[in-house]
Amino acid sequence: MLFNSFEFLIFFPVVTILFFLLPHKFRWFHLLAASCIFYMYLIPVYILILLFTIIIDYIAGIVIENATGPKRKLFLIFSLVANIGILAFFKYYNFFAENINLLFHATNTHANIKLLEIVLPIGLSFHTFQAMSYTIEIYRGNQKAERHFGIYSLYVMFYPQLVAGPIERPQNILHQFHEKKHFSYDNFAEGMKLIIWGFFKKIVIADRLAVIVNYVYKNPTEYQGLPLVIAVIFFSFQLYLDFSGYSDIALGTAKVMGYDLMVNFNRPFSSKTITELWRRWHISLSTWFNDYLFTPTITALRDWGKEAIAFGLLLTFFLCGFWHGAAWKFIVFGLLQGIAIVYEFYTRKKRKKLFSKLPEKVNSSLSVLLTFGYFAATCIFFRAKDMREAMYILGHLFTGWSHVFSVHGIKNVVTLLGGKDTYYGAFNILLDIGILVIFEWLQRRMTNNKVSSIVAGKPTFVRWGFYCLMIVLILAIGVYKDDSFIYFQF
Amino acid sequence: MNNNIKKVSVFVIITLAIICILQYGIDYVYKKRSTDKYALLFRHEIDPELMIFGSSTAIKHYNPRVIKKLTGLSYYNMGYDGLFYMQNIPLVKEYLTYVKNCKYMVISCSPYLGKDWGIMAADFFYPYMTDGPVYKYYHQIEPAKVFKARYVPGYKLTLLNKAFYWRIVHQPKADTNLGFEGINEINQVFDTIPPYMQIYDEDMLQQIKSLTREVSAKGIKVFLVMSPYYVEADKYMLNMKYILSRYKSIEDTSKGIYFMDYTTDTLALHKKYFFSHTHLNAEGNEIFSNTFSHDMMALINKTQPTPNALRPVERYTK
Repeated sequence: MLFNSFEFLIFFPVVTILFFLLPHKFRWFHLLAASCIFYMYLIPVYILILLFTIIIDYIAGIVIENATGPKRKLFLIFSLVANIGILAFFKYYNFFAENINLLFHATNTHANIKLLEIVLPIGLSFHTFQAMSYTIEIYRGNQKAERHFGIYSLYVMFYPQLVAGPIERPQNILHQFHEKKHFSYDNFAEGMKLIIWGFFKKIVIADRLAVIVNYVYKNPTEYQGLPLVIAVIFFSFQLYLDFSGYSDIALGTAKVMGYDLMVNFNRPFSSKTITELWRRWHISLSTWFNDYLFTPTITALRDWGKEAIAFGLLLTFFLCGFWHGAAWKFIVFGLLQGIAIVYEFYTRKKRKKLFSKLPEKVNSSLSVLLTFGYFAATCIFFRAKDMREAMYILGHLFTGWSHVFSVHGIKNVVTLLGGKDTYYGAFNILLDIGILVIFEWLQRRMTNNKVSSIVAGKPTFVRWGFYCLMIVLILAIGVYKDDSFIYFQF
Repeated sequence: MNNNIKKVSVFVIITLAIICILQYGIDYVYKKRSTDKYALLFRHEIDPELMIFGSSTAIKHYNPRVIKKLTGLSYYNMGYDGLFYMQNIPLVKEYLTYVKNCKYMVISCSPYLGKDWGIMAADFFYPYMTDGPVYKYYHQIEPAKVFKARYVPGYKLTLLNKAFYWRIVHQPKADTNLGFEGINEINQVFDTIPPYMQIYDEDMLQQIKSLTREVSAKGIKVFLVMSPYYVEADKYMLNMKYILSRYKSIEDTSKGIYFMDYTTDTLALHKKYFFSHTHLNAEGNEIFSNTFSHDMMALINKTQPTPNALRPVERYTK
């Protein structure tokens, strides 16, 4: 089920009201059943895959806890192999098969490995990582194994974060399922505000930007210069707002019932370095990689000195890119993040010295702009159909500008982006830019991811008016095309 | 606790009230538009002697200048791109509730006789969604969407798009309400298209038949007109001959219901008269309008078909 569907509009209040009406001892079952319905709404049979990993990890958790010595590691490896095996089969099998076939073809031999016609189970990468963090934390002794099978299933399947995160850690969420939750107006209000904010980001801004982005990316080779630059910038915002919008709705949905999920985004586009950006972007994933891959890697290679960090970073971001999708373009996307962070790591002192000569405001603005520019450029690999298309876009971002700076040139760009009617095209682009500016202004007023902080301290009619206006804008200028969330594909 | 529930209830009621007022306001503005032909129809302000209904073939194939000159009739074109029967039937029914002057009605036929095309040009019609005939027929196209639009407050707003807001500030031009003189392009004409079966729903045909009887009962002559289709592309529509025969079955000359088939027209043999394989360009539009006007007047006046009618060709014999 999609958050931005009419079905969810009915599902959410029904599940929430029943949750508070039911006695505490039945709530886990209620939430689990609701999560199953939520998941099975798309491809029902894939619930069996989830059930399989849940059973494996539930047993593995108890066995790891009870075992001693090398057996603990053995059971952990068994659990990880099972999880990664499922992920590899559904997500990466065709990628490897294709590349092996290509490799053999290049050497004039044949390896006709058959490709599978399978649809990737929705949210597989998310719940697999969440399940793996459970067994790893038990192995590390940071978490006790959950004995209640239903509660453990709920840990993996809790519907607000089931299909696109945040990727939770057992220490944060498992104990909350045991706690008795009472209806709290503050939780309800804060949750609802987050949901409205999330929908605003997703439906009003991200999906609106998507219209132009999709228009250009449908046939990018027909464009050069400004239209490509606009599409590239718009896509970065679309990606951010689409995913952070989803995360806000997830956080809000859980918050209404009294559950606190991890904050997943913290204004990443205000970052001054790529390193900082990845501390603020998809936090639950970047901390997952940090906790379970980067830190163990540099610890194991500590004899290498600085090179261990560089290697750890490149390995982490290589896998982070690969996590996003089974294609070379995602690997390149990840590696480009890694290369930037390694560069920042090695040149930190020099850059600090160089930039200190600039006035603080110039320094700060330039850093934010450069960081955003680099990230937006890497997102070309994220959005383009394949490497060839991505390289075309990169190569043509700075060509064809000579004709732009004239009335005819501007008219051409507007027509390219907005359809045949120039005025309508200009209206669309101005609307999109206007909404982005308003959003940025609102976001700057936010503190601690609290939507209420935007209008904190204002009279009731201003606060209510603000939320009411957001709801009306969501309904009236949102884009409703049953579009899924970008991160659902992962 | 009670206080908080009260607060939430008051907020929900205020928000719903604002949504309903906004919805009503948008509907009101749209219904009052001066150059929107559908608003004019629903306000019962259009009543010419010759009325044309249909999809893109209606709006693109009937040249207002030629028709006016050759028929001498006052004339209005209600056609719109992609507007198939399920959307045209309520328009015709609405028109019949007040018609006084109309003597002739053209229904531009489409080989597509299905119901699931989706609601086209939606922003023109959402203000009338709660009206009887529009609701009844639109409900057959997209049941869930139309039902929610009628009964769920605010849902109708979600069906609007940027074009809707654009059209609030940028109304359609009144002169295009009579149709076009054609488009001078030939770049969308396909030389061939893969063979396919056109969608045909017998119930749809029966609804058209019933509609023609309703129109005829008002003393209006009905001309079901199948426009020329570019032969090289169109010959791959495998069930076209059958569809034409079903249209022919609607004809009842004793009641003033005629089926005029121009798919057998020599016009259809020449790529240069088309801008897409289903649409005539400016030159084709001029020739077709000329031929059609003469043919229609011949049927009205019960005279011999016009001498400048193009010779028919056999296309569907195999």
